[in-house]
Amino acid sequence: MNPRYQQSWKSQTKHMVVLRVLLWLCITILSIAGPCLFLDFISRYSMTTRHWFLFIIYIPLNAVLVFGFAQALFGFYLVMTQSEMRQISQSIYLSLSKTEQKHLNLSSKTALLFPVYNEDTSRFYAGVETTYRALKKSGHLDAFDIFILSDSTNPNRWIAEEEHWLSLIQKLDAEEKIYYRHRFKNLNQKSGNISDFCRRWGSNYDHMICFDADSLMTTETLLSLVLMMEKNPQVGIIQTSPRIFQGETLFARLQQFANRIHGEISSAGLNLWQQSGGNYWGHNGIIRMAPFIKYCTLPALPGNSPLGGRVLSHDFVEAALIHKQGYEIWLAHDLEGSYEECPPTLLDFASRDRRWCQGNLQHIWIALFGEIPFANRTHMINGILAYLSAPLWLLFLLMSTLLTYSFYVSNLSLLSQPSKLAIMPESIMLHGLIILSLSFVYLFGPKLFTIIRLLIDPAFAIRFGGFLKASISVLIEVVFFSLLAPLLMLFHSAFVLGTLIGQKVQWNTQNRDSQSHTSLTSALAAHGGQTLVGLFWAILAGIINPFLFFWASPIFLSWLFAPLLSIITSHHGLGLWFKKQDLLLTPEEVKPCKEIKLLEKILSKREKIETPIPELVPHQGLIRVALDPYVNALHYGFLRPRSKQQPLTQKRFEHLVKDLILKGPDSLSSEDRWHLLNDSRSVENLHNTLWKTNSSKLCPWWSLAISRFRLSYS
Amino acid sequence: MDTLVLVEDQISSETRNNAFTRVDGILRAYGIEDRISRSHQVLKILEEANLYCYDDTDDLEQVAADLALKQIDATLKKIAAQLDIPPDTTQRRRLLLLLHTSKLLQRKPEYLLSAKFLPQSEVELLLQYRLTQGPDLQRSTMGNPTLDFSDIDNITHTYQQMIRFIPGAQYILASFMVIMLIYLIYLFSR
Repeated sequence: MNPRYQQSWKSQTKHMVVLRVLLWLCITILSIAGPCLFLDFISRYSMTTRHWFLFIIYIPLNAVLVFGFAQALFGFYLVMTQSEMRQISQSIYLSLSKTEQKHLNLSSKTALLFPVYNEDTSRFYAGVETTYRALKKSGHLDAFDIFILSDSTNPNRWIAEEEHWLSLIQKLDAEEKIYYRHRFKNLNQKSGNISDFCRRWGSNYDHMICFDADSLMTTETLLSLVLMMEKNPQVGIIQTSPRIFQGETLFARLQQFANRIHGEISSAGLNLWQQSGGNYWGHNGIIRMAPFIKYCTLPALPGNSPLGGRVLSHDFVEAALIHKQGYEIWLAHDLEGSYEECPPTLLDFASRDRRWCQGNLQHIWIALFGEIPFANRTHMINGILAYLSAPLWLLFLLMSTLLTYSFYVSNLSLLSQPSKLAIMPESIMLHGLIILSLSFVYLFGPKLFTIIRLLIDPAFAIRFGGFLKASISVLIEVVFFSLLAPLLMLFHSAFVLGTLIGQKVQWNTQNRDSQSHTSLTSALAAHGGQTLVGLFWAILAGIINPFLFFWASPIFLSWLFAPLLSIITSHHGLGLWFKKQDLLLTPEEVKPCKEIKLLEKILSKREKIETPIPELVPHQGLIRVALDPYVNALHYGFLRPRSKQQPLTQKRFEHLVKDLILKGPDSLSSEDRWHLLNDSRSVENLHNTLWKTNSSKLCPWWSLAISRFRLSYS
Repeated sequence: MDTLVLVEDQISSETRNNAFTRVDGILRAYGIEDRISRSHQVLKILEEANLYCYDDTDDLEQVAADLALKQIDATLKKIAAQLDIPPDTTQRRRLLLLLHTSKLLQRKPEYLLSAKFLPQSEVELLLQYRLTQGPDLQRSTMGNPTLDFSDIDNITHTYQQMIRFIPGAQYILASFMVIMLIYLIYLFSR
């Protein structure tokens, strides 16, 4: 190891300590100064209950902005001065060359986990194949095993996953390297899926790296993560900073551009304050197996769902639990090769946020009452405030509008008292503008840092298509997100309210299909209420005071044109148009790494599967298991052998098989069909009995299925 | 073929066609791609099935399908013995997968219904194709949760039970929130 790195890694430099103190000082001072200025401002009218109420709402709103701004400010300083930051990657050599990669001597064994839940099978397996092929090429495949952990509840997806697994291991000759496991019941969803792996096979491995269904990591990153874990036994989790990629719709491209161009600065700031008290984001991170198994059992939260019961957003809690036992958690933000995809449309994004909102609000219990380290409590409070700030902002806007209204209907003239702060101007208007400007600085300052960086650092600008194109892209991104933010605020407010009054969240599969844009009907259904709110509010503001209308017009515009914005940003064609103009470009598009190229190659070579006729589509998986002896044998092999089945249960299953064949699949409930597909005896029985049943006795649906099945072979 | 001709008068051509289609479908599904070879094997099975059926009241289609599946099963048992693996259902299903992955039936379709033993070279080839659906289990137990909310949990449960006990408590809570909002609107607009 480089001795210089080793030395800086072992202890914090004086410079680092000063910077960290300064960062916290900055957060504290700005979090206090903002509300003080605001209090001074509103007290110049008169302090009534209404004003105190407004002041109380302002405190957390200001704090959220300050935290993000301070993080970006210090991140900007670190990135621009290339200061010697203490980061986990210093414990190894970064940028392993091909020769260095080949000569690495990994002494540990790592499981690569690919949880899947009703996802697009071919896209999912393309990710697995890319990872496998890249690892094999690196010569370090022996140090890894791949596990596909399926929780799919859609039989069609489930059977397709099994078939894909078989063809993949045949194609790659990857027996005993890529394993597939399906759970009968997806108890505790993703966290339950991972725990199940830990209980079955976890102790065979030193580490695990969890992927998302759409994530990708380069070999260099995987090897670096393992190496860092081997060199630092005190580390429990290393989280990478996933870059968003493969965005095609305008919405996804805006997200991926923002994540990519501003991400490095904010990650550097985040790493500065959190250091060894980092967080886990659920995927694209490496975990030390033994302490995870020992300490990361999730607690049951007080009360019932939605706020209590089972922990939904398990990642933050797991990080807290492992950190509590003295293990360090680091953010390896400088590792480039870690990617994930983004929901293609605003509605998909909002639907994901609905789940995250409930998960983060649940953390209130742990943040308030759990014995966890300070850093983890800060992460949780940040997460909670990310959603709680939406209804607070809405309330703040509502109260401000009503205050203005009450002033105008009172017909009183404005008699303001002088400011209590000597530095503040005499004009109350100017005073108000200063406070507003401060909020704008917090909001748009980080964007300005990026533009400055683009100007100063040409190498950085080239990665995004050059200074001019990248700066224009930042402006486009700022305009779009300024319009999208009020929409998200209304969504988040509804989610928070929904969670608080007991609405539970459904764990649906995330839509990752960028070709299906938002229809007018769905846009109106989702945003109709927001448009009405915008219309009503705009009229009210216009009546009260044109000045108020003018100031709040960006928010009204966003709400009024919400359906249009949602449809426009969901378009694949528009996203590609921006790409053709070299706008919203990311380094992965300018110069993709070999793994992304490989993934794209695999995706482009995907075989086009012939779509079955509509009548057969809903039960395609069942048809494959029932008619194809090899799919049947494969599926049978994955099921638990039933050696001791109760005679009554056996009889019931036999009856179900008979009904299924003679009356068709719709005669059975989906639950019964699910149970049949999970019973090995029934699966074998179904295949044999179906082929043996006289065609005159078969229900017409099966006759059709058999004839189409025969056709598929001819 | 002779037998088929002999009973032709008693069994309608529709019944025979149905039986042919079904057995042909089974053999195709099992991977016998070559049409000539498949037809030859189908006719052999139908010939045998005819011995059990005398007229249309006997289910030729079912008997023939049953015969085909039984013969396939017998072949699997025989190969299992050659490979020295137990002949139970689970192993036979695994063996079937081996035949598929090794593409043995694509190369030598006659072995699916043949009484002949596989040549040693094929046996060795089959042994190379092993499918492992998961590594050996290494059971471990997740530790006990280190965060405990039992005290708060009691309070929360009592509160939730109380809410459930009072009819319409949720609506009362929602109404309270609405009233608070209306009050705020009033407070701010007066």
